[in-house]
Amino acid sequence: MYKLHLILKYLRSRRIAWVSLIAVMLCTTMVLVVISVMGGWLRMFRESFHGLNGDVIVHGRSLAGFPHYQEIIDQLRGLPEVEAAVPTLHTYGLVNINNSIRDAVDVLGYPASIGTVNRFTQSLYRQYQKPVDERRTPATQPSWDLLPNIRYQEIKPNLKGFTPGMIVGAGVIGIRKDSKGDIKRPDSDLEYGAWANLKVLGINPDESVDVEKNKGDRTYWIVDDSRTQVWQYDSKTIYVPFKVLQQDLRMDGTDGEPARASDVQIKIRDGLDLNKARDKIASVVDDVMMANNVDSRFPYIVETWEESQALWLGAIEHEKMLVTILFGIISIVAIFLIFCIFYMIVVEKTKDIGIIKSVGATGAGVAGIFLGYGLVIGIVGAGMGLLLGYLIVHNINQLHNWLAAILGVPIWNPEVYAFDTIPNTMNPNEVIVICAIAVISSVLGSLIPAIVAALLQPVEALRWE
Amino acid sequence: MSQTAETTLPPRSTQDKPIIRAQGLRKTFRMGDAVVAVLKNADISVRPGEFVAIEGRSGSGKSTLLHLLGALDTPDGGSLHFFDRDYTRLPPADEPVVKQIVMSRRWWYVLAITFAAFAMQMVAAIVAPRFSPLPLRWFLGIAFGVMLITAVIGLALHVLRFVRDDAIATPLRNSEFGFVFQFYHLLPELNVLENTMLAPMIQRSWFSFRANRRKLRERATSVLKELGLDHRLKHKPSQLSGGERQRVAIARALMNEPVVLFADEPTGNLDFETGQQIMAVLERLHRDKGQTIVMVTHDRSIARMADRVLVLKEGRLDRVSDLPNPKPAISTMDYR
Repeated sequence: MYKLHLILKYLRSRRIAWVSLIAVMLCTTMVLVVISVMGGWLRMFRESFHGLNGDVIVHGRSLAGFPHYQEIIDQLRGLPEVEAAVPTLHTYGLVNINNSIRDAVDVLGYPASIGTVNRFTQSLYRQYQKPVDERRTPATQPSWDLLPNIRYQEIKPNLKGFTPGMIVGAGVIGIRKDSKGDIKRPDSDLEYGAWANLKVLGINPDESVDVEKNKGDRTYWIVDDSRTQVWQYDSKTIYVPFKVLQQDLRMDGTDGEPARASDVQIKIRDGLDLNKARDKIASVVDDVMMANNVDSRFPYIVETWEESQALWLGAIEHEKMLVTILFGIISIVAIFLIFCIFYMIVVEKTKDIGIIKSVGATGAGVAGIFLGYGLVIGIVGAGMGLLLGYLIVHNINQLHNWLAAILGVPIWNPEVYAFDTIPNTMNPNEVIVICAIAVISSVLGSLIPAIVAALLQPVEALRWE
Repeated sequence: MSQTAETTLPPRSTQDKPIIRAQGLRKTFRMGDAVVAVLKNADISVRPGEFVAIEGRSGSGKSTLLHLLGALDTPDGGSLHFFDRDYTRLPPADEPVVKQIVMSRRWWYVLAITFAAFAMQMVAAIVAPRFSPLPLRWFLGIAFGVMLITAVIGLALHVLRFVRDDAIATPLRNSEFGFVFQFYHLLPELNVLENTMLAPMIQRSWFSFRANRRKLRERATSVLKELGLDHRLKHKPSQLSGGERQRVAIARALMNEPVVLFADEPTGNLDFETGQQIMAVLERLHRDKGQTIVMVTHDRSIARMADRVLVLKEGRLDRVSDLPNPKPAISTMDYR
């Protein structure tokens, strides 16, 4: 009885209680904000990496790709695990946009059905992200069709032959955040009426190169830009129709070999184990390759998206571990802070401990007062810290812009952090863990002072000056 | 020694079995390097209904004796009994060697020496690996072993002391003994009523306290009223005078109807008149209610109000026989 009574009395009447309360609150807020921002950033990174990849990928390990991909896709579609399977092409090329941008780029050949296996469609600005107030419903799959309201012939009258559409990574054509934090975009569809010449080179299955025969040189029209939010993709990648690229690379079966693709991206039904699905898919692919006597000129590997991005994901995991260690150290500092404050409280209250003990309180009871005191301060401090942390994280982009305006320097650089906005969501699991740690730290911080108080003989405590 | 007329009160005959019996009490204090023996073989027994005063000069150890009798401290030797209950609680490690190492601060020296030796080993191993006198790994193992064993023994002894204290001493302090100190020792955050109710608050669980709150509050109010404090119930100690604080302390001590009331220089911090008022309270408690009181004082005039006066001199108790009888009549004084 007296424990609760004394805890409440002490909380109400002691200014030092407020100091420790504020210390717990600030520590909780700090850890919440940093974990939310860093954790959110790492989570966005993962999601973005996954966004450009199917759940499982049959990956050709040479630029010549691998044959019989259509048969593989047909077989895979029969598997209950597989929701969709789509062939893609990957190569490197030289691009010349409007004679103003010349660059070496990654070239991806996507069929329109790519929308069924990854989130490429959602990265498109004109077809998906541009607001609905222009009465356009977001596309479900990407389109490379030329825009109807642009008079291409007038822009480049001497252009001959078939000119398909091209989707460019936003960074390739210089779309990025400016110093004010806004993204400059073309005002209307007309801005997309730029031409882009792309030169690619097909590789023979034996890895020989026949420049005259396998040279692809085609002019496209830019119809959209893609913003996956992963800077390394957006600044260096262009996307063209699968069939067009296959033809330009002579991988369409006209060189005597069967038609080839670089990868097959596969979407697995939700909730299934990716590794099991991968093993099943690998056996199907092996069977097809065996049946067609595909030789060692076409090496391939079947892997999950996480395995295919292992290098990047590994780096991110390491970063996360580093951040966790840093916060472990910060947490230890916080525990020490609480410990110091509680030790001061015990020293200050030594005489009270003697009085309470002389009236018959047990050592356990006295320890209970201080542990309870720590618990109350932990709970109230963590609650206040959660509130403050939520307010900061929720408004972090506004705060960042405000700070950047005052200091004149933007702190969050999208080219470094790969994303143009600071993550502002809190993960409920992390919140629960952090608040629990704050409460446990407060109790731990009060543990040694509580034991010291419990072990005092009443007379030792009463004699204290 | 006077017998009161009331038949309901416990008998006060000296033939009764003593409430408190202390034999051969020893207590030493360490002050830096010096060891001061405060109590050497002190014997005392207190019978029901007695008012015993222990007189002595400042620093003679009379407060220490009272703390031992009241189970607020532990003796280094001797025995303490409350009726037949032994509450001596000698130090758990009476072995001189263990006691020297663990219970004293000497174990810090052991640790320091171990660490120093360990550091020397490290330096030797780095500077001149060939001349390292002992294999480093062995030494590490021994050093950590010694540290670990010392720590475990120390912790175990502390826990033992802690558990024993909780089991033996706290019920006595809570229900059988009441304490009045020279410096009042009230909790500054609690008001007069809450300070008075501290013992039952500590004794009872939350539910039990809630259930009996009205009864306890009535009891506390009536005790405070008897002491003339019924108009001060909601005041904090800081808002009271010295005499009022001491009366609150007496009320707190009486709240659980203790068998023995211990008073440690109850007038020591008060002016003469207020001190007389407090003494009147104690005197009346003793006379009207047969309260057993053990009081410590350095003031002979105050000691004379007791039935029996013992003098603590050089760590031993002697009876004083030359007390004037009858005692001065002070019980008529108004202490309000």
